[in-house]
Amino acid sequence: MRKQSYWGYIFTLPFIINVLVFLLFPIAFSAYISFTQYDLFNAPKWVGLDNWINVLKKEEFWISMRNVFYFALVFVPLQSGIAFIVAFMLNQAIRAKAMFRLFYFLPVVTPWLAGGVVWSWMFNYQYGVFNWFLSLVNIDPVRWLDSKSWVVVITSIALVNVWKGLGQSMIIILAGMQNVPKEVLEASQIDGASGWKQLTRIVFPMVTPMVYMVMILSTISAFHAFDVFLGLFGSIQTGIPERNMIPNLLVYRDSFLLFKMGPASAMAWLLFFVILVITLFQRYFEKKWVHYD
Amino acid sequence: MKKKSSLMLMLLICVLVFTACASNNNNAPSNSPSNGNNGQTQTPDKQVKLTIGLPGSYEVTSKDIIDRFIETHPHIKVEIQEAPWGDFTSKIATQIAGNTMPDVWFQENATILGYGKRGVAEDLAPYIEKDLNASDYIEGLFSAKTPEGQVWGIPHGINPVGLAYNKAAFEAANVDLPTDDWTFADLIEASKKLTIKEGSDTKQFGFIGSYSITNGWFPWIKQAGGSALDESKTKSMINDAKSIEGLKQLRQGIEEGYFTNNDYVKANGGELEVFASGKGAMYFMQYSLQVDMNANFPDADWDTVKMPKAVDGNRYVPMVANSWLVSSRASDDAKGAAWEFLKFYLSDEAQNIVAASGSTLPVKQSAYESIVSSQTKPLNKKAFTEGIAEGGTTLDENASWAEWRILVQQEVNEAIVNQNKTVEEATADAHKKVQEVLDANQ
Amino acid sequence: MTKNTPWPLKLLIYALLLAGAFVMIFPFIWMISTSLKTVGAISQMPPKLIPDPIDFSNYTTAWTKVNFGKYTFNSFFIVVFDMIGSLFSCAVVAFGLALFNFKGRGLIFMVMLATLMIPGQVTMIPTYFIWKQFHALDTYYPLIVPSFLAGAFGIFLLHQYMKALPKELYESAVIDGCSPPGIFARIYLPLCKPALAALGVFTFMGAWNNTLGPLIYLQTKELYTLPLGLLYLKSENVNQALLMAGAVITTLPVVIVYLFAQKHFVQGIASTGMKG
Repeated sequence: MRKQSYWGYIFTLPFIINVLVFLLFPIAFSAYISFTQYDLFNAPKWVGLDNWINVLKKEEFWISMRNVFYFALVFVPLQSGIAFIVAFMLNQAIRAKAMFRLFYFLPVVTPWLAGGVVWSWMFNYQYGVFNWFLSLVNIDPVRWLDSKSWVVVITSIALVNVWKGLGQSMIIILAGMQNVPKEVLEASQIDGASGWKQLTRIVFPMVTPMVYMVMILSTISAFHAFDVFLGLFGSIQTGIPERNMIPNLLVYRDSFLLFKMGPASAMAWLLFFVILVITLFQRYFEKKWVHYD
Repeated sequence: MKKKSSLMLMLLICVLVFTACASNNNNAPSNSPSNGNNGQTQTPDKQVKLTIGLPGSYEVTSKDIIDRFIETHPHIKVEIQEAPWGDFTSKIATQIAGNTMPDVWFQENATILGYGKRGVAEDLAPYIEKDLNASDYIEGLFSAKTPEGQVWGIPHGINPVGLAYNKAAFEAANVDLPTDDWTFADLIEASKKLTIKEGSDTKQFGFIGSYSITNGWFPWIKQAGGSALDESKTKSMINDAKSIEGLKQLRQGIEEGYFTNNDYVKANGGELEVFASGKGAMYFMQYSLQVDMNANFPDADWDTVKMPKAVDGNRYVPMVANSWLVSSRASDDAKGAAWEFLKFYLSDEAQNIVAASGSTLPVKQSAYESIVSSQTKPLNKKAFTEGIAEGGTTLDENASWAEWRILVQQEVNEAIVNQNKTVEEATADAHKKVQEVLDANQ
Repeated sequence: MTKNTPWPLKLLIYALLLAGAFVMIFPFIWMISTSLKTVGAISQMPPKLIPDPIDFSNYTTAWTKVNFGKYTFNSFFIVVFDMIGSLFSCAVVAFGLALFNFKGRGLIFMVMLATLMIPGQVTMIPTYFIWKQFHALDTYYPLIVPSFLAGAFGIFLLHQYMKALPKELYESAVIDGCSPPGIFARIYLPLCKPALAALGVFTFMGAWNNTLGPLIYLQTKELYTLPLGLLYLKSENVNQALLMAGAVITTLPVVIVYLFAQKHFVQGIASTGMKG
């Protein structure tokens, strides 16, 4: 696109101002704090790399990273995949699709105050509905949220997070599907293409920009997971075991409960770099599967 | 390259600007009660501004007290800053960082101790010595006192724990009602008799097996002769044999089914619901929950006695306090006004209002008359008032309490709630981690 | 799915959608149901979905305990500005990034993505400092001004959408003698309705539910937003039914906005201006 460059600058000006005025200082500040000991009250005391080294030395940090990686691994493909399929179904000639679209969106607006209570109850070892289903088919009950194994716990939470975010991803993809002209779909039908072929050969390529966005966003939000964990576990003071912790909970604990802003900032920035690398990774593969017109 | 270096320059400038701002904020907190005595002799014409921070607003601190204070102190212009109870922490933390905090506010006592250590709170010991008569108050007045003698706060109220019991359940099972002479062994015995099973289901549990710090692991450790920390609050005693013994008793009760288990409590609406609906016959209840009981379960037939005695014959009544603190960065005038407010809060008038609310116990002895003679449930409020007089104890609070209590809770959950570890393993792990935190905070 | 889809497959699809829908809405239904329960009924086992008796008192309590009218007005005030600001500024920036090639474009795009990755918890306090310097504490500026400066989420969404539109759209408009702002306003903006509708819903949701911003920036109670005001219902002694009533009240406007915006997500594309 060989367009007049200066128009590009003019159009992106609002965002540039945003960065210069509201983002530069907070970023610089929190980066600076990560090299200091700061308790929010007394002046920050420079400690150099101590915070970074201490955070990396602590097992709890690596455990939280392991957990959040696994969480993203389960959450992102599931959510993106299901959102795409549901969006496709609800873009079809289905009865009551407006009603369905509302229903699938409701979890997005259901507060964790309600969602957390209901899901914890459903996961209850003795009285929850999931173990009741298992008992019907003679499988032993599972300790979903209080298992000895972090895999079970993180998987359960990832599934709840899929429930919560599905509607949002679905909307984004639905919006993208509006660009798929009806005529193309109809023509393909006449040519004998089945629903599956339509889905994979025609619809999917045309909505890849939106699916791509959903993947990037859900990856970022997976690594930033916080609300879903608190929604299911209650507060940090209830004693969430170390094996189930995620980085953002550690950052919250250190900054607001323990007034250790230094290590909290270091941890937060480490998380940022991890997400950045993964996003760059995803960007690299963008050309291979995302089609812009 | 050009872009990179100009970016670095901007970052450098921001950092320099900030450190300049930060050093301006670092005023040395004044320790002398320069306006404490002036409060009495000061010319009433001088207008002073005072900001009071209220978490939970007038739900928790009666509007009557504030209004009365404003009425009787016309030279003090009061501004109220409110924040919702659960979200107060984020707000006050931001305000402290930005130096926009109120002149006086209240939070959990342990938090106040942390503030004291960092210099956020004004030392009130000199003020108290000058203006108050300690014998007018219960010992709890000094909840925020450090071993070194500083007093970082004045209690907004004391919330102790007592043994609540369901009268109907006792009568139905033909078991003698609890008395103040009970020991924990008596409690365990009775809970066995009060557990009603129907096949594999339990219709009624003898006792609600709480496991949080206030009404769970802390009292169970103390009654067996153990402790979380030692007297100086610098050494962990979590893995002391007696502490282990106490925790084992709690675990055994849950395992053997005469104490409730966590799954049951969660599925039935929480501890208070389980007690109020008759599914649990006994419960270590905090004083403040009487408000909830009377509002939502007025027909429940219940009363309270003091916490059972420990093996050494002493009584340990855990109490949680919320404490007012004065900002060390407030102006001298504001500090004086804040102390006026705290003195008013500790006056007979205000303390009686606190007592009447039922949500917390006042620290002034004269206000206790109205409590003891009150006709609302629980009738035996002496369980709380005399309980703290006899054996009120904080939860071994010190400046690093917020950090180490989480570590202990994690291990208690493993050993007692989920039974993934033995009590010995859990306490060993907890002891190591807690001692690390205590050492780092010396 | 068309008339040609075999009915067993149709049935399966409906069954799956329904099962999924049930899981989706169950907590929401529970929330409404609990808000209508009297206190004694809350912990009844097994839980009844339709309360008996149905008790609206929690809603009246919420209404009286909280300065409803004023707070709702405040919330709407903020949210409307947020939406106008967001939709417009994000569309403008997205247009610039999607349709123009200029030095630094890649960098700006990456920075935009990076802002989504920035840890919010540690930037909250320095941002507070900034607003303190501007003497904007206890005003609505911290809550409104940022949305006029194009947030990353909106930019990303509209960028993806605009880039997927045919390139020829722009070319032919240039040939027709349109200036870039004209092309933006007259051609691209109308075409982006589905994405704008989606962004509108998300912006509304974010702005409406935002309690942290109002919590730390607002002091005067008259300025409070509704969700912040409803947080006061959560005192030390918790009545779950009352809390749920507050939650339902907070949620309803977003649902209504969604219902209105919905049809824009699925308006069939009539033409992309390609023919002829």
